[in-house]
Amino acid sequence: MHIRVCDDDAEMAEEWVEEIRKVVPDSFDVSAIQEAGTEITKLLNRKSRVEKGDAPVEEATQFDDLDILVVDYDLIHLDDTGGRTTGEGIARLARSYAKCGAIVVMNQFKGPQFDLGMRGHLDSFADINVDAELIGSAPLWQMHLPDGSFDPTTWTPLPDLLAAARALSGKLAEGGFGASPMPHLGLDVNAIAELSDTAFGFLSQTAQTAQELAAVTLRDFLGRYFDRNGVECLSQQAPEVAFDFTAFRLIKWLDRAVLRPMDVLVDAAHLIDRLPFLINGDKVELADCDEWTKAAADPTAHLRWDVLEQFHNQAASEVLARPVFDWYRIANHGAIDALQDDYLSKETPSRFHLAEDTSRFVPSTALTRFRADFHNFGDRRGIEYLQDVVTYGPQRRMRFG
Amino acid sequence: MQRQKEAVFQILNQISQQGMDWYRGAKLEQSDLLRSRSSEKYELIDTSELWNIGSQPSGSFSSKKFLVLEPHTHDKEPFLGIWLRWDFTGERPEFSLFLGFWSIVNDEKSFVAFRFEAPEIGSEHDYYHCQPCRNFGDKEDLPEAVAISDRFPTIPLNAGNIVELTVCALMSTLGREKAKAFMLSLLKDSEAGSNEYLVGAYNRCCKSSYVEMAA
Repeated sequence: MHIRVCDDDAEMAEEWVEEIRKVVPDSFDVSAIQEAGTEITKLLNRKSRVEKGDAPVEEATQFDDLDILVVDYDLIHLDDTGGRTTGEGIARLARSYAKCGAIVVMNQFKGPQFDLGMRGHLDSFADINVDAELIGSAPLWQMHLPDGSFDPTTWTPLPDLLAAARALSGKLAEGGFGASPMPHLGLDVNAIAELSDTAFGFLSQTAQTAQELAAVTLRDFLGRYFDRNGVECLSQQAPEVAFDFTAFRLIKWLDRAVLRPMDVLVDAAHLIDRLPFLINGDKVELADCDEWTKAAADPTAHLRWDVLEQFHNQAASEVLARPVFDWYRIANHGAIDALQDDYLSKETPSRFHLAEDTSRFVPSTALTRFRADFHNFGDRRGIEYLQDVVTYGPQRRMRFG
Repeated sequence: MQRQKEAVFQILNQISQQGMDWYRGAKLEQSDLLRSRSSEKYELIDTSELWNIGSQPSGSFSSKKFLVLEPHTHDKEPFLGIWLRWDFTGERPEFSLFLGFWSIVNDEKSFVAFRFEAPEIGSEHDYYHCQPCRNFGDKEDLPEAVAISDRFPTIPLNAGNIVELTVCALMSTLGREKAKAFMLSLLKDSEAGSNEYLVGAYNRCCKSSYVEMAA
């Protein structure tokens, strides 16, 4: 695993390298990019060649070999003539013109470290945007059972995100640029019909109906970012770059605009937060909140899989690197309603709630409620509120909660 | 009362979201829907405003604002809204939920409202009840209001708290089966699903067919 930190300040870059090394396996190769300015200039050259319709990838760059790129948002000086760019600019260049893996941009969005809006900066070309102080957080780099430390439900460990994106890129390549990506994302027309306006508009500004959005091709999607010549140049002369670009952007969209609002898809933890009767009481000690956390981590073994299997969305689960289910079907299914009705009729046992900042289940007394920025059913969420560890905001969202 | 008030506002939030979805869709066909179907002076409350209002221990909707509901009726040009007033600071909670309904009857716009209220001090109306009225919360009769008594009859309701009262009001617009579906949907929210008053209201008011229970 090649992880590179990009900054023109060598000392600062080394500090971040050390932070990351503390939380990744020794086998991971972590270091600072050498001569960052020169490498970025090569990306700019590629951009220029694409705009002219020339073969863009003839000149090699280190960005092609990276599995994970970590870059600070602060301006990077490229040369002595005053040329400079931001971390977001580098993210866009690396995503658009190199076979770069997952990209982390640090410090782009000043303010709280846990954004109670939970929207996740879909427009940024970074796959994850974090405060630099959090770059050494273990859950950002490795899957593990939540233990009460800061571990937002919104984080996917970067190596898992990378593997999912590369797998998706491979599948997209099999279909070609004239195919729709939707089957690989696990979204059929019925699911697409349930998408929010925000989710709809990110993929296409011309599609009016679910059927039209389902028919949007990779080439159409690339056209949202490049002009016609750029799309043709990249798809013909650097197809792997274009497939990677599409895969990473679509994964970010599926995560931020579809999974997080939970109108269409829901992951296992949020599912049992909503419908606790789907925990298999024969296998899980329901009075123990840690058991709920473990159940969410292994849904096939600990949830009512006999009921849930029909709602499991395999394609979306692969893309999002976690088991996810079709909420829009669960929400209106007679069998689920019957189970819920039965559950509500009984003297219910202890009920626990998912904390969005620690990814574990806690009693309601340990939870602070807030209102996420989705303006939909279920936008009232909870946090353990580790205010001595990280900052939270906007604070008004807790007042609404 | 805090848990009951939270429960009521969770119901109203769900009503508001569904009502606004219906309203936006209907407005595509008739841009002046609110003005033409209700009265000129009214505006709609949005969901964010609702949460702000609901954070207070006592209060009411603005006199010229109400929540819109999707009307499930075969009446002509229906428009349905809720207006609310509450005060939980005293010894006895005061709670009045006004259900206002506009439609075309005999080719004329008409308005009728019902207020769903908590028990009142004294022995006459010391039970959860519903009364007809000609205004929509602000004590000013609407010109298109049907000429009916605004205190008779005082109908007793199947409610033992303000959450059940609110579900009774909802059920009066939806019927039992749709009210049940509404509550099951609401109770799929993590917080709502663990509110004992919402669960209790579901079980008491709309869970089962009273015909089947009688059999």
